Amino acid sequence: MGMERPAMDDFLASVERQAFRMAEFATRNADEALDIVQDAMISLVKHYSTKPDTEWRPLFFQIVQNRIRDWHRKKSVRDRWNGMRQLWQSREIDDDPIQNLADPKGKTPGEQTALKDSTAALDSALQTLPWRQQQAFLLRAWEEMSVAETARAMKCSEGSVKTHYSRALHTLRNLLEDHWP
Amino acid sequence: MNRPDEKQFIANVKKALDLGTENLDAGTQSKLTRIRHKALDAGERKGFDIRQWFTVPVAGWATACLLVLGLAIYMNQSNGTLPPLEDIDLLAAEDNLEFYDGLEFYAWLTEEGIDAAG
Repeated sequence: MGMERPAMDDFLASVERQAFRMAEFATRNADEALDIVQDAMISLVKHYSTKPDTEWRPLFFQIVQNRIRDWHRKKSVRDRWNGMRQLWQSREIDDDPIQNLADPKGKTPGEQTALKDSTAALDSALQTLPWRQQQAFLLRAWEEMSVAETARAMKCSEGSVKTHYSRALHTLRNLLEDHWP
Repeated sequence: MNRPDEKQFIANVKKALDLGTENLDAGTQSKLTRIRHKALDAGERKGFDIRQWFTVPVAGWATACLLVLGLAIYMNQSNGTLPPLEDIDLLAAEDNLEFYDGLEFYAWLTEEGIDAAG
């Protein structure tokens, strides 16, 4: 049985923006997010298009989560390598190390102004979360997945999902209390 | 935190997230559309590949079967042996075949020291 292109096209069109935003929150990089979404779409179409269309949504977000997890693994390796390289270079550059430190919140004055908008505030707040908390929150709150579905998508226990979600919710409420008390 | 508060907070979050996806810039939306089509094309190519295993080789399998059958018949007729290489050389040679037909005779003449011409 072949793929029904119109049905798959409609499905992917219905989830592509959410998937992109989730991946963008996780990677903080639009190009990386697009790559993740593309990989996930190709994987779904190639391997699961013959499954009943009711299964596509959880499968698709599971693949997106797999790709995000892979991305973070690779990033942690890259970061370790870059950390060693920067440590080596810092010995050669006679600069004030405090000046070289990035603002941990990454906020420019322009961004601070934009935070007045609640959507922008939410984006920033989500990006402060550890990625597992962030993704658990997005899957549960935005995609309205059950705890079990989220656990399957994130390949972790239901207990972990509950913990991630609860911590994310607590942090977000604190960060956004000026916008949504 | 009480539950109604939490529900309202989640509702606000969802509304903001939905707004964020609705307001994606045109460039990003265009890229998403492109990668969606790319994925669908990849799926159709894969589907074609699978069907190839079942449809396209039918002619190939038929040809292969005919070749095997033909070879088996030929081998059977020739007592299971292919012509030796020297015979192939003879058949391929442009020389007069009569010379080869009398080759043993010429060899005998040479052994006996008889002049063939005389």
